Amino acid sequence: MAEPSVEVLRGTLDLLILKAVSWGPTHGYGVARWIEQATSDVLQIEEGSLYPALHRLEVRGWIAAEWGTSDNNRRAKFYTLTVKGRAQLRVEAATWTRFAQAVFAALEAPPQPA
Amino acid sequence: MKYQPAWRRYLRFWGKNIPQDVDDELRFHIEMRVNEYVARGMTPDDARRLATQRFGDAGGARDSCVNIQKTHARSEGRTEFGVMLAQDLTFAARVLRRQTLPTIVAATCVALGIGATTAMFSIGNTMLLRPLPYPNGDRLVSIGSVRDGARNSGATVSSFPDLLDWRARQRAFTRIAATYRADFTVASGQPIRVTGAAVTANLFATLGTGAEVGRVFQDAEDAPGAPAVAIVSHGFAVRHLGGVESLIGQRIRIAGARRTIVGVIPDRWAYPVGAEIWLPLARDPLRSSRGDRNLEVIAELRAGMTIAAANQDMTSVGVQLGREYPRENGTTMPVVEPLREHFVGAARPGLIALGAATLLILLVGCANVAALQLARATSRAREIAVRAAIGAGRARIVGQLLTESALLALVGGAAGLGLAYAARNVIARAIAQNAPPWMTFDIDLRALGFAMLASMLAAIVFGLAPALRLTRLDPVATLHGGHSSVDDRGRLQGFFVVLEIALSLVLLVGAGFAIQSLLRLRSVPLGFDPERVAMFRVAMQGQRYDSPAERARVVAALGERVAAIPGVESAAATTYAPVAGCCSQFGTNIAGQPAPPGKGLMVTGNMVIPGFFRTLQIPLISGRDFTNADDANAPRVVIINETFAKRYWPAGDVLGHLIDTGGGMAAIIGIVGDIKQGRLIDAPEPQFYRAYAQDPWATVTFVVRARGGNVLRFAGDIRQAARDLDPIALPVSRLSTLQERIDTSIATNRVLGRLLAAFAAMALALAGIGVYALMSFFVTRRTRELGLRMALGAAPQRVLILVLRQAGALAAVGGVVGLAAGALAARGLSHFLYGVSAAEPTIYVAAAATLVTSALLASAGPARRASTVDPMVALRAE
Repeated sequence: MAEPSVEVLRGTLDLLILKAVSWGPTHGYGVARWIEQATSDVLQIEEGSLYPALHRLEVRGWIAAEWGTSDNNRRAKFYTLTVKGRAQLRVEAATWTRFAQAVFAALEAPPQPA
Repeated sequence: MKYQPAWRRYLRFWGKNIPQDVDDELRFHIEMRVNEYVARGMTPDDARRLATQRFGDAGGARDSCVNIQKTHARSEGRTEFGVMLAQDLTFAARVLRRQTLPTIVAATCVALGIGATTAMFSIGNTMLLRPLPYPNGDRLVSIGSVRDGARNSGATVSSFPDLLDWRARQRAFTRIAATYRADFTVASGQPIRVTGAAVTANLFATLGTGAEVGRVFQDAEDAPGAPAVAIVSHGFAVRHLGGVESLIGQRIRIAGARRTIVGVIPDRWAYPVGAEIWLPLARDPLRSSRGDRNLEVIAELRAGMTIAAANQDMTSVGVQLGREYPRENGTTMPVVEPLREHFVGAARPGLIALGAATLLILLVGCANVAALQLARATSRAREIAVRAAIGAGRARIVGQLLTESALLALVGGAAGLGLAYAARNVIARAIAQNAPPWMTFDIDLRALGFAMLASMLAAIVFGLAPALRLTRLDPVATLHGGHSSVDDRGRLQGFFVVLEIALSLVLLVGAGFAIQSLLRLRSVPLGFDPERVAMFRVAMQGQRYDSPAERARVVAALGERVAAIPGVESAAATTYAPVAGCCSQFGTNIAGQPAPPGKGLMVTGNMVIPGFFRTLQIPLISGRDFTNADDANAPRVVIINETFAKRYWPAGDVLGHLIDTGGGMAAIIGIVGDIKQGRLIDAPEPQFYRAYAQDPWATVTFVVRARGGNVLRFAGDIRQAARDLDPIALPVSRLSTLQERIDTSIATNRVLGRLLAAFAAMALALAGIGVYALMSFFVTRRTRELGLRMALGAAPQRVLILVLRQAGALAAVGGVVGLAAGALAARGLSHFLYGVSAAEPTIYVAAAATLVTSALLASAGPARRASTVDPMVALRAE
């Protein structure tokens, strides 16, 4: 498994969280599990930074939180994407895609004659 | 996530526990991870260890989460209050809009109260608080000469020698200036009479004012023999001299001499108020008499000097002068007052009376709204109970109800501001008839603030009691019973209505007194007949009139010419016309009755031409009138009034006695009836008349009686007669009817009476609404009982009487309290109302009767409704 740099991860974490909660009300553990599964365990996020990120996004108003009951009947905090958050997700996803395509393009580029 | 209903926010009352929430969230994560690992086949211990390890720095994560949430909560808290307020306001607006009629009635009550008080405040603010328009305004004082310590504010005049001595001996002032009000003839084209003043050269420096164009007077310009100069007001320059430009240096004929205009003064700085022309007061100290008091003195206090200290200083000067000149100064003392008193003094009682009246209106309005709110409370008890049941705290509900009251007060207050704007000048006219032009009664920021504050206070006053009362209910009982127990017997409501009745009665009594006083003023015997009498003034200035003989000739000739106008019954001249034409007083010696030293007799006197008494129809009691033979060469003669005769010759042998009223001994040739020379309210005083031809003053007032019809139709003929005699320097001014003059002199009383009556009517209407609302409330609450009574055989009349009796009881309690308070108010009023004392039983009876009648009228509707209750319907209800 590749060791992704912390820098890249931190910038990407918000994007991944927004994407994770876009499917419906999700608790923190659900977010972590979704990222693991969606990336086939390639990206294992650092859980210690997942929660501060969730709370930051909540305060910013991109996601909303409400206490509810989990599948196994436990009290859990569920996050949902707000309208503002959905817009943000769209912007960040587009940015990320352009960034990634640019990097790919650079990596795939034929060698330049000197 | 679901939409969060507004009421859920009330649960935030308990607040949220941030650290607890974060811990719960993190613990849930670990638990889920452990479950996951166990499901994969790990032992619980291994699973927990691995999950914890996988999580990493749990403490750090917890701290940053808590931090983020707390920072957020703090900024949220700030907006929370705003959100809550906005919610309350929206809700309040909805409630008020839903109940249109009660809202309009309540807002009107508030509007009347706020409007009246705000108008009064803006007037008081202008008169008492706003700085005088002069740069030195806050340090300006007036110095009056007051006889025998009898303090009265306003203009008490002083003599020129006194002024010079004060200047030399005082230590309290930087400058002392004097003014002598006079009208001047300005001959620039048609001669006109202009109000002005002769002033000491330092007047403008004392006021701290400069000229708009040119300059003010220079130091020596008030010395005798200095070049003739004049200053005019901006308004006068524009109206009569063709503008301000190129005016400086022009020479214009003013008061009989050509004078150079040296400066133009902005209108707002005019002092004395109303003056448009200023001439230097060029008096020769050696030829001025110490007893001749006709100067109004103002001064600028030294920095740091108080009024009290200045008074002390001037008192010691006054004592010295009294010792040095016992005859003239033995009984007078200089008194220092803020110059503001000059403008306010006379108006103060009216200000206080109307201020108190408007406060009463506001209180009545508040009591009324409180009573109305309480009546509405019954229908709201259920709603409040529901809100309490779902967790709203008492503070929160009281807050909500107060928000409603505040909104009501704001709406009412805004309407009140409009009322105040419209009413302020009407009220101001009642208080300060001759307000100087700078006293504009604007609704300024301070008045606006007052209206806001008064509205908010009113909201608390009328909103708090109902709010507290409503929230004290037991929600369970209210919800169960359906029919609640918000003070079923309406005691609190009854209290407010009784309060209203009592306050209205105070206003009614006050209005009664003011009207009674006005009626008495109107029926005061004048001593003359003002019907069909016109008056006008003629002033003779200029070289031609330096000769007394010429003055006597011109006045006699004008009198004859005016009397000869077809339709004129008779005409004559006097130095001062009756009523508010007060007064010249003369030191008087009676042959054979020497006055005790220091207590010289001062008597009001007039110079009149023959026919004066006939024209005004003043009865000649004995002796004869003046004739044309009583001229400068004839023996000096005098006519006295009845009071003078009775006081000094009680035996009745008056004719032929000699008195000296200035200019030598004169024989008394006649006695005439007393007339109101000064104010209508003054008791008759000794008065004398001398033959004008024997002492022809430069300014006279003519009185003209028409045979019938409007006497002012002769205005053109009168002016023509004056022009025929002297086309240049004999202007006719202040032409009016004598009745107008009398009306003007009691205008203040008239407007005061009307205003108090209007206020009382307002209060009465408000109290009527209160009684109506309360009785309706009673009838509605007791429908069942009334129905039962009627089912058991009570006649409708009995039910009617039952309701009316209850209203009567309220009126009686309010009436007793109100009469007691009214008697107190009456004592205050009687001090400045003419001819009434606090003991006027008819006024109290009339006021109480008016009130009880309106209370019964107001309850007639509800009572009738009660007596027509259908027993079957009433019993089936609920």
